[in-house]
Amino acid sequence: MRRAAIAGAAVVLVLGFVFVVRPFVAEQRPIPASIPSPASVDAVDIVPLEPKRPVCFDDAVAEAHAERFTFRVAAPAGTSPEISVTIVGPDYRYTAVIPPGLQDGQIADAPMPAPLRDLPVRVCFRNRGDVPIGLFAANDRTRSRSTARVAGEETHKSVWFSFGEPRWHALTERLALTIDRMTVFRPGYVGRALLWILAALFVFGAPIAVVWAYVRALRDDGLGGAPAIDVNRRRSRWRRFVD
Amino acid sequence: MRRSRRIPLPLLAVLAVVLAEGLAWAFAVPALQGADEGSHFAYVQKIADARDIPWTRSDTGVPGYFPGGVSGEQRLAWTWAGLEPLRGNRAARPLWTREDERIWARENAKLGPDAKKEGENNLVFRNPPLYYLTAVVPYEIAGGTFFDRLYALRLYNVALLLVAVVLTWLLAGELFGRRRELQTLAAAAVALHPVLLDVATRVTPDVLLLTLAAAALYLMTLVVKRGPSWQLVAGLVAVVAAACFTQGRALGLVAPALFAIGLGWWRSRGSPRPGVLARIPAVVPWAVGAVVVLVVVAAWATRFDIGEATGFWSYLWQFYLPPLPGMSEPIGVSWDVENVYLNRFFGTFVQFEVGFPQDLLDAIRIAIWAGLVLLGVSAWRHRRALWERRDVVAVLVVAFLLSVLALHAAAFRALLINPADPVITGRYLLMLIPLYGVGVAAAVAALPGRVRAFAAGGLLGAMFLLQLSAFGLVVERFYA
Repeated sequence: MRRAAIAGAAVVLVLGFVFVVRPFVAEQRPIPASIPSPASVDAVDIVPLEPKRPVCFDDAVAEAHAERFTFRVAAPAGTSPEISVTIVGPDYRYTAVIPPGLQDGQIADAPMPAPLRDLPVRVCFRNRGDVPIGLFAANDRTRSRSTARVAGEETHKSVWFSFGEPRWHALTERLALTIDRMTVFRPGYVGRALLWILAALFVFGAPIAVVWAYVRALRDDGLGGAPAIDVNRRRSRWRRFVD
Repeated sequence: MRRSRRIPLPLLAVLAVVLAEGLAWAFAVPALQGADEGSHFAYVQKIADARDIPWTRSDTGVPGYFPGGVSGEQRLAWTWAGLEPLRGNRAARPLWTREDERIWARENAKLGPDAKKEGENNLVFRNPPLYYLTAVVPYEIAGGTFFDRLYALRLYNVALLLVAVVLTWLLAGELFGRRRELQTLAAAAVALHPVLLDVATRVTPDVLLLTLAAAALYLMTLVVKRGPSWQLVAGLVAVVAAACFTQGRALGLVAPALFAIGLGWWRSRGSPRPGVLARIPAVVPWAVGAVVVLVVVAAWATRFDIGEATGFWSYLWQFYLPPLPGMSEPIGVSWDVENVYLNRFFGTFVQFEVGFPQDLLDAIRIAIWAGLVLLGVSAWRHRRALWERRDVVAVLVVAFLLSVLALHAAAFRALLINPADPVITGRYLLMLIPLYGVGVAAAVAALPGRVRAFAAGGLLGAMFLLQLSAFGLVVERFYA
């Protein structure tokens, strides 16, 4: 019976790891570098971006893997004019120019040089055309700490803004980084070592332990060994399998 | 022969699994992402820092996401640690760099001395205070930053979860006659339940509630098996009272506890039905008791408005079954057995923005039906053993039915005020999670010998994969 239990678990676990777990962790997906101000859940607001009235926000963090950034443009009157985006942090300054022609609601996506380390940055947008446009923003509970100022005036809205990586990755490729990220805003004892140990115990230790527990329980019940069989009694094929 | 007092090794192994999973869930999920986690933390903080137990029976209050309901320290973490934009928002990711921590610490250092004492009129402050009072201990021991204290509360809940698993093991032992195999299956089914791990590793009184409910179920079985000694009855009363002072949903345990004490007393007296009573068939008092309970529940559910009684029974019927001819639409939004027993009990996580895909839920539905069929087969196969333990079985069945009925009554009562909120959800069923574990073990017991071992091994593997899938989806939601 113990062998049967182990076989049953092994079949399901192997099939599960091959057909469910592996494809899930190996799937290539866009993993953001950091999202200083996410899109809102319920209400969409707009921060006006008018010519000669720059929009800026502080306390965004450009993560070391950030090699592009995205935001969303509101251009209800047609298409957007040229927009410049300047990212400034300690020993870092970069200005990207977004060419004109973005449709209303379209996402602007531009490359940037990756910072050498995670940097707190200020981000400023300038409208280089003549037509006023806007930037999608949050003004509800999803408003971030990086609220925008228009020409120095506080708006109490946060412009949807995220830093991204240039290419997609599998979860397994970003496992170490994910573990690192899980240690942030945690107590001091939640370090990388502890999380690696827990990950190993969860993924490999738990299935082994739970199947071992069952097999051990069979043994404790006296069901572990081969059943006593009367060899003189004729048994059906089914009974031979079941016993 | 002297019985060994050693903790059984299979139980130890299952507890080790719960500990590893519990810690992984607790640390992987960013702070305040559980249902009302901020409000529950605010309650503990109010007791610990403001020395005030804010328990109020007022029906008015502000939801937990309203800034005035929590402390200034928590409000600051909402914004400067990015926790509130993250809550339930799939477009958001945690702020996950050390620079983010430094920015939050810079602002946190500016807080005044009263920043931990604020927070008024939170809706959660209507909850009874027992969980929050006990949680003050880990809160005070942890000290330190907001995050040190919050994660200490999560660890406290992991410890409570371990106790709940032990109680499931003990309960299964009473039902199955200490068969280690079935005890292990029952405990493992609880230990690997995906939604349980998600809920139990946040700051929430639900964990203490389900632990006390598990203790109450165990004591109920002891009361009917061993007779209602004053120690057992006092223990049961104390546990049920403690559960009621933890969460109002525990009121559903009062009637089953009374039933267990009554049944235990009746059994211990050797069916004393003297005189005229002896001529009444045994089924009559049962039927009278059932009718009384149903009438009382219906009266409470309808806020003592007899005119609404039909509506309550119609709501209850249509929650589980298709409407009968002549039945009108039930009150409230469309919300039925599938939502509660399948989607929410097995398949939704954190703020409900993460869920199992539909094809997996379909597979779980098939497994549930197969399990129910096997449970029936098992009951027939083991009918003699079941008859010998009929008191325990009766108590557990009554506890399940009355607890669920009480949940429905509370839901209907609330629907009369606010038809938009269905109130009853899968999380509420976690109070009865030991019965789920026992049910899984009983279903497997339907199978013979080696087939059972093979199926049990496969089932354990499948339940582990379900647990791992849930964890993987939650990690993906926050970190990918």
